[in-house]
Amino acid sequence: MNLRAPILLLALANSAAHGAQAAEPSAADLTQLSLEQLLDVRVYTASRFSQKGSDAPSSVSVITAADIKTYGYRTLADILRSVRGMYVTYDRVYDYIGVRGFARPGDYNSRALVMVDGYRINDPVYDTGSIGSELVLDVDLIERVEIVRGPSSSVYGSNAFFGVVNVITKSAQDLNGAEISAEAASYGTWKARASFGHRFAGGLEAVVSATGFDSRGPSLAFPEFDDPATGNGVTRGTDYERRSSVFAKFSYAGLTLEAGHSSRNKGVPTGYTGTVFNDARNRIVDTQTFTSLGYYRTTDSGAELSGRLYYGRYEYAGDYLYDAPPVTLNKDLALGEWWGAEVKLVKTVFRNHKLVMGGDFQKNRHQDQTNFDQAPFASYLDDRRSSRRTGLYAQDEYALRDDWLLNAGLRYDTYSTIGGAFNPRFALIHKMSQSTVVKLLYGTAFRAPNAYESFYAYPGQQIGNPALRPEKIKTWEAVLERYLPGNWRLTAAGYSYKVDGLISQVPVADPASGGVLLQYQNLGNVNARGVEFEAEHSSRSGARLRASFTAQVARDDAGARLSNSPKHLAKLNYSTPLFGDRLRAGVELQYTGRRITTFGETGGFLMTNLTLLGERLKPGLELSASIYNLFDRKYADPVAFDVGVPQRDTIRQDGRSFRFKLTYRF
Amino acid sequence: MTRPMASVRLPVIACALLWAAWAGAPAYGADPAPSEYALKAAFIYNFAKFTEWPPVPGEGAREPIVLCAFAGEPYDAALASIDGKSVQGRTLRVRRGLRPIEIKSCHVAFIAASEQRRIPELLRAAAKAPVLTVGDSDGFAEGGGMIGLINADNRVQFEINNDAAQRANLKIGSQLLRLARLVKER
Repeated sequence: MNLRAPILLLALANSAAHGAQAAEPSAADLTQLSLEQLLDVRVYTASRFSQKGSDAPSSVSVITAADIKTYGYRTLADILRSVRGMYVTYDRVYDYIGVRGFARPGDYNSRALVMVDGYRINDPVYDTGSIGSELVLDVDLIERVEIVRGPSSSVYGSNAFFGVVNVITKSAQDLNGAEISAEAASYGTWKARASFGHRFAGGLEAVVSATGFDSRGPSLAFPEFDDPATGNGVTRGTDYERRSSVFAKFSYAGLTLEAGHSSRNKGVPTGYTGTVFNDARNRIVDTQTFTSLGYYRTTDSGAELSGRLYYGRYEYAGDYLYDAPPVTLNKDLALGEWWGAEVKLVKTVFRNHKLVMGGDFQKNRHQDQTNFDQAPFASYLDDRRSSRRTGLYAQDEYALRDDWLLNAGLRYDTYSTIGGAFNPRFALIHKMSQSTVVKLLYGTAFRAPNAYESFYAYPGQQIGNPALRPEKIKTWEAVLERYLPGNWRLTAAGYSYKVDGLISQVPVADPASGGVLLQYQNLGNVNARGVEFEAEHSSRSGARLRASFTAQVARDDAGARLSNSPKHLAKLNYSTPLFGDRLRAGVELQYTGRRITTFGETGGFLMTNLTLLGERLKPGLELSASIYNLFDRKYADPVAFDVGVPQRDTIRQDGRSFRFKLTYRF
Repeated sequence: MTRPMASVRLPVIACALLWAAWAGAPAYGADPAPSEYALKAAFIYNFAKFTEWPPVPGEGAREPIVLCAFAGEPYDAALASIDGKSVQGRTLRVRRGLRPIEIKSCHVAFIAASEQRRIPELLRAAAKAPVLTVGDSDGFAEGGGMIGLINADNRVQFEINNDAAQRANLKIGSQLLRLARLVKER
């Protein structure tokens, strides 16, 4: 497999190159195309250099609502998995982002900033940017997702360490009426959604949506529990998931009020942390709420002014059954509650300087963690905190000449807990010709240790580390983007990351029991280097192709490779219309290379997903059928070291599964 | 065992890919992808193709279809290349540099985003006359224009305000309505 993916890409690049001999479409040539084909033609010239949606002069991928339908994506995790250089790890409760070779077991997505319409969803206890089914937003409401690789701390501050995932929701016009949708999938899974979007005569735009989801979940086998006392390691009815979410967005005259709420009840089937195996009472409930009031205005002089006030709340409630004996219910709880404000001004001065200035403030009212046995009552942790942070930043985009652009930014953050940090970023962007762009990027980023890493403690499992320092990263990156005739885009990127004091979960001796405890500590330096290649193509026939290959290596001080860091990743997404334009088929191939685990290695695997979409069978009706893991590949993801199940270092993932979906618009 | 292999393989692949990308280079400075302007011109051509104008006494079937462009210099080449094309058996003629009052003499009026300030004036001048108004500024169709071209996801889409077209006795073809985003006037 290692060889196959690069050869495929090479073939693609070559066929792109040979396309050069073909005549270029002018307006006159384009008149030969049908309207359907015209709607599918990509244009580059006008928008190529406009930094749509993202302030980051970096390597950006965009996944649209059309991709979500075409490839049958169910979660944000599915979306990220399909993108160049990214991979996702699942432990049957949460999904974890892997980017640029980093996916530290025991890290709760704290190194990627996840935003919904610019509102940051990373909570102040775990810093989690949810990407799994617990995401506060239904994936069907996504208009597009912009994935920015590399650090963006010079604009966004903490968490923008390896990248930023910006989710943009559908507008009232995108929905333009009512929509109901129903899904049925393997493992007794059902989902229903009702959405409505309308632009009223007075200019008010409204979007409201509600979703319900229920899944029985598969039966699972865990070899580490293969013992007659624990049902030979087989568990049924413990991987269930129930969730509901609501979302609303109202815009009027530059003001946008947005709110979302979701609650997910997920069974924990894995015997995680030594809980009683095969007991459906082991579960985790994640509840998230947010409200954001945004303001956007362009002044007569052409300046853009925007601001936002927001409130967020995240509640985690874990029920863990331990056989003390007797079997005791342990409650592991966390509450994050925060509010904040931000302002931003974009202004062009002296014609060739585009200035971006802004500031933000966030007050974390609650960063509370508690743990206790219910009956008989025994408290193990009651840690209540609050904190605040303030950030100020400025960025100048300086057009040195028509074909040279310099982007320099600096941000200062100050935390009530860890003090201040400066983060610069420089980017030099050169348009070598109409079809070739080169970017040279340098940036730094930091991440403050979160409340969980610093203060969570539970006897026999984990101890806190109030002495944790922020982790820091320095990155260099070069990106070459090339547009070739016939709607081809090729991207090549090379990067070198140097992380100082990477916060990692490490086993330490437990003086009380003589056993092992987990603690978060700052590791020494970690270096990561890699190259990425991507080819994208959209043809006149309506077929679309995206293929990428990533090779990377991340090593610590001692030269050892990091765990859960595949050396190779390859992706292929291809979709094409069938039977005229009645159906669209989407094929997705994802190869993830071998990954090091706590005790060994988990094998590479090729995942194949297939979706058939019928958008134009009947007016208003949309049908889709998907098969995930078509060839029923057996594979496992590395998981964090678990004191309660010390022999386990991987968790098996789902085999072949199906989904049918029906959406009706009226 | 695999390590030395991999370390050799990668740079080779990288070089090969870069070579492949460079080898296909078009002449320096030539623009390989269709420009936004060319694409929009092709759309306008299609709009003219699928619109029915009310019969005008004295206007023969041989008379040209007049496309008036209220647009800046970037559109020059794109519009010039559709000038003279055949539409519904008639010839498409592009006219530029008209005064707003002359808009009534056009079959199609294209008002580019660069002329945003003049949009209300032009739409007023065209009111009720059978002139298909096409624009590419934000909210053009909702603001009283008939067809708005919009940039979305590096592609060009269009929205239709059919009420405005009907008021002007224009019949926009189902080929267009089917693919458009339909909008109501604000």
